[in-house]
Amino acid sequence: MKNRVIIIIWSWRSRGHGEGVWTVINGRSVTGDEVICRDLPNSPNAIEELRLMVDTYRHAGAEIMLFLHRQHGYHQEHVQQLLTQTTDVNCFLFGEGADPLYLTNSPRGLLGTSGTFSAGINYDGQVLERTAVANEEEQQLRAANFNYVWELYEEALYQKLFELREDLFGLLSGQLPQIVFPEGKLYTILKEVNARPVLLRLLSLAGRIKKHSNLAQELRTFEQTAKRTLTFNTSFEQIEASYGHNAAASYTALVHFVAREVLSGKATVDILQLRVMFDELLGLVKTHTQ
Amino acid sequence: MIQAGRPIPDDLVRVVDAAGLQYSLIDPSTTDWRHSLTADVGVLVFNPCWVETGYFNATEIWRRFLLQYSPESPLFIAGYQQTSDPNELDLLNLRNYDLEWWQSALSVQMLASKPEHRDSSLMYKLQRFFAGHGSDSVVAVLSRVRLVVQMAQRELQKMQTPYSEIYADLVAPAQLAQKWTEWRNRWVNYYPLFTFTPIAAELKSIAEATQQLDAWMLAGGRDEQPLADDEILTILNAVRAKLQDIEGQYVIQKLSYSHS
Repeated sequence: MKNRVIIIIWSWRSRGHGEGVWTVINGRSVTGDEVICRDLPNSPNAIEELRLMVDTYRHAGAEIMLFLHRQHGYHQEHVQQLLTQTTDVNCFLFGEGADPLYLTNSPRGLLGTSGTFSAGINYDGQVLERTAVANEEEQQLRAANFNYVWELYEEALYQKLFELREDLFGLLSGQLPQIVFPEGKLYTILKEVNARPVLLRLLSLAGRIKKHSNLAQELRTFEQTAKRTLTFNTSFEQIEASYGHNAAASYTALVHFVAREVLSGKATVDILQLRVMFDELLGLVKTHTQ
Repeated sequence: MIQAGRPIPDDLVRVVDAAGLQYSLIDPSTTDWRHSLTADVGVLVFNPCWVETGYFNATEIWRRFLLQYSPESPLFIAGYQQTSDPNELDLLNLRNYDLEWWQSALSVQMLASKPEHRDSSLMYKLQRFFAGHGSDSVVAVLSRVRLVVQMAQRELQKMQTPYSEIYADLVAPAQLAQKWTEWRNRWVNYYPLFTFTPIAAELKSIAEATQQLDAWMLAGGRDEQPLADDEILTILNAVRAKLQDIEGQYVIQKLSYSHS
């Protein structure tokens, strides 16, 4: 079995553990998995440096996941740039405390406060400590936390798509049994106030939200409230790298349908057809069953 | 019909009414509805349900509950998935479900278990909650706390050792505050997930009981009186018993029902 490496570009130098390599321990056994902590702000050389790092671990036979902190200057274009230069890596943007990577959002997360792997959580007036550290002196992390983050982000696209699908149909439940919406009717429903989170995610899926725009900020606000990532930052390249060409083609088809039909003021939309497209893609990006 | 943290389509209610059926919306943190389950009275659950910050599948937990309490009852699953499986309703295609369809539904003992996506399966979450048979399991953590309390209480009541000695020699070294925090950490992560499952009532009871212990435990067991009054051990015994029941019914037990 390949060992797994999570590379996290974050503020490790601020007050925390600093840059370095942490191993993962399960009971008393070192699993072979690692977390690489780098504090590497974006720069003209940063992508090349990241590519070299990924390639080094890939050539050593590892499976790799790379997390880029937005506040270090990384955006979706950097993810795409990296994915055109290297292969076999899952790459994610994170930041502003909204992601399940953070212990403040998930008890099995990895990242705590100020460049550490620990955080204090307020629960019913008491402060509960959450930590991913097994042994600080030995720089060892708990397998439960590493495994949780790895499996969750492996499933990230599936979860976002599944939740959007359920939220959209839940929103339309008041219209049932109507399943065919004449010209622009569906888009009118999506523009209602209570539909805002669904509309924003559909716009994100369709690639209609520009970086740093008011819509992007509004979606980030929803993410902070929801404590998870709702933005669709995934590119064709990333899906093809992670799930194969059929999944990438299915994703493209769904994106086009959403952009040209669902978000159109003129199109007639059959939500059974939309469901088929969602379900085909979900089937292709699903990895685990019990 | 079990509440699911998400809107129930009016269209579903119309279809149920049109079939001449009666329904009531159940809060699973109560238990009085359980007595009305019969071969003619079933449970309808939504898949997935919405809890806190995610969608979860409660189907398998409900299936096991009904197998234990009322195996002749039908279990219906409603969702936005395309389906033609028995007992499953496609909320986007509700015209297909007339009275004959409802009446020909299978009892839960005739329904096969379906594999659930691990990240959304509440059965898997429940197994994780109890995971680590041996020293890491949630019941084991509670048992370690209970053992210390039991020993301290015995010395106090039967041997009449001064509590100051018991505290110094037995209670303080046991680090009850740390152990209780370990228990609470696991509890607060899992308890809310089961709001729309048949164990919600039992978990609510456990939550209320353990809240009574918080102050004493987090103070490290310094206060003699609740121990002398048998208050602490009584609550711990009740909580442990409930947890063991849940674990036995849903996590450990291999059910012997045959499926079609």
